[in-house]
Amino acid sequence: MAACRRLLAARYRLLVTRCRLLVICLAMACLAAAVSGCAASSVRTPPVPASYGRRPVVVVLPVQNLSRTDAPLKGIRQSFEDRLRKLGLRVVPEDVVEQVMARHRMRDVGGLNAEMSLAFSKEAGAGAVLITSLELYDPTYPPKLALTARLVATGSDEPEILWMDSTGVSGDDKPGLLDLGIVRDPGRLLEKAVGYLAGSLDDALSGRWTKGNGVLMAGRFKPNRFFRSPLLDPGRRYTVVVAPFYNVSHRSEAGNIMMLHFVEELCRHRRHFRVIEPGLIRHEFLNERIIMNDGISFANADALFSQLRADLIVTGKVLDYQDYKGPDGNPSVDFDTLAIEDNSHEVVWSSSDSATGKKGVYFFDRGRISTAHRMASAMARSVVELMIKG
Amino acid sequence: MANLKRIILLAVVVMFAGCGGRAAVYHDKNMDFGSIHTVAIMPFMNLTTDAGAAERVRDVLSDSLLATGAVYVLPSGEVARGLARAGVNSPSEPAPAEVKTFCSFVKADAVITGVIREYGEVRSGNTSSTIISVSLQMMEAQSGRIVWSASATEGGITIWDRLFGGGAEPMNAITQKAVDELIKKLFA
Repeated sequence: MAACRRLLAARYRLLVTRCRLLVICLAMACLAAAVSGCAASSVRTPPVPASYGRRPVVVVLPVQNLSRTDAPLKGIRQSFEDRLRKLGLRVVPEDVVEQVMARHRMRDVGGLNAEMSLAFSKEAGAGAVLITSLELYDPTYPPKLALTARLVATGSDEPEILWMDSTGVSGDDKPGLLDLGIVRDPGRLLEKAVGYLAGSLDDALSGRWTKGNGVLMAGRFKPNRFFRSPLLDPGRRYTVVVAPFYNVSHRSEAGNIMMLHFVEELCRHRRHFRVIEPGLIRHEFLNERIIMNDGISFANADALFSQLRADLIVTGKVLDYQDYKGPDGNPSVDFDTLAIEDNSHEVVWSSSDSATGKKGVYFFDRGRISTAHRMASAMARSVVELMIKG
Repeated sequence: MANLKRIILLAVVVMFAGCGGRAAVYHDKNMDFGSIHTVAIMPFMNLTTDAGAAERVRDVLSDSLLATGAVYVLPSGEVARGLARAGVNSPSEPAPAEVKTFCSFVKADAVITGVIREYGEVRSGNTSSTIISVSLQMMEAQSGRIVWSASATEGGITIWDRLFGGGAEPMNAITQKAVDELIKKLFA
């Protein structure tokens, strides 16, 4: 009888130990899942400074096509105009915008230089210009789309970026129960993306911080290795030129796309950075005949510092920027970042970063990223935060 | 029995001799490496089929050297400008005279040249893996002579891979390892 009791007690202890082990394993699995995907914190976009007015008259420029694919650009522009009107903003009619553009021979719709800033203000009565860039448009199943938009103030020879946000979405981002959440229609996905950006702009104009849809998985997209010079002062507000990245990837326009990611992320930190409108930078590149051979040289940097009254140049090199077609695949992004400071005339930041959409994903594709846009955005955010904090 | 033990011992020694010796290093004993503050990394010679290999390794080396805080590395754009001004014919293998001229233009204390011998996937039978093999040289600015040279190989197919298979390490990871090994040899 006593032997039987001892046996039962031993069995009971074994069972308890196994249960504890099971609980520990489950807790670890949950923790890993949280690290891989659930820990995604939201990204916030700052509001438009009150000094620029809450409801300016807006010019919606034709969409800049960085996707190099056949995309419904007119539809996207129209969709933006409709959304802005619904939000109660006054939008300058398309024909008036076209006339001003034709009068000033404006061909680049990816930025606003000093001349066009004054022209839109005086000739179209606009207080701001909405610049939209289409980074990715893939209508095949599942559709994928990446859009970046920014609002730039007009009326001065130094147009200021008031708001900037972006979104990268795929039809199968949230499949839901029985795949009912999959978006198969590219038009619906486009409406969703435009709706998000219009909502973000509305929040910014209303003086609210926008809860963005970008994700930042803590530490997941930290640069592989970085150098931060002690000369980079976290307490100082830098005027930053973000120059187009030198592109050696197979994706045309990857250099300009990376530039936009950095402009957007730097704009989120107004306390630390004043970002110069890319249209002004492009104008200076053309004026000074700057051709980047293998990246930016100190001579080029000097010209930009003096002409744009900047004290930091952020640029880099894109080695890889790939999206994929179809439901199965893995986007990849690989780039280097470099920052040159005016006073010291030295490289004050250098980092290299590469990642794929499945980086840090361990269980059931939880946390997988389906567009290079979202990944590059998170990587750029990580670089900017490290630049500030070290 | 004694003979068998000797044969086994000899086989083990031969096996380890084969595994070791993957890297070589040369340091000029007369050179004061502490005097080198600014370094220019030249475009590397690429002997592999991957067109981007040289660019990737160069960038990783540049960041890693800067991250040590021991030397300052000139940006690649400034190097390209210096090469154009100095009229260097073959940037991956410059002549000593060209090194001197180039360094005087960009104000560098030394230049690093390199060769990427292997980069990418290797296959043997059913087993595949990733491999990188790099060799670097440092030439000082005053005389243009070689003061340091080293090579490193990372990755490749191991006995473990052959027996049990398993995924190859990503190229980025083994590139970083090879570069770390080279930097360790530079500061050794």
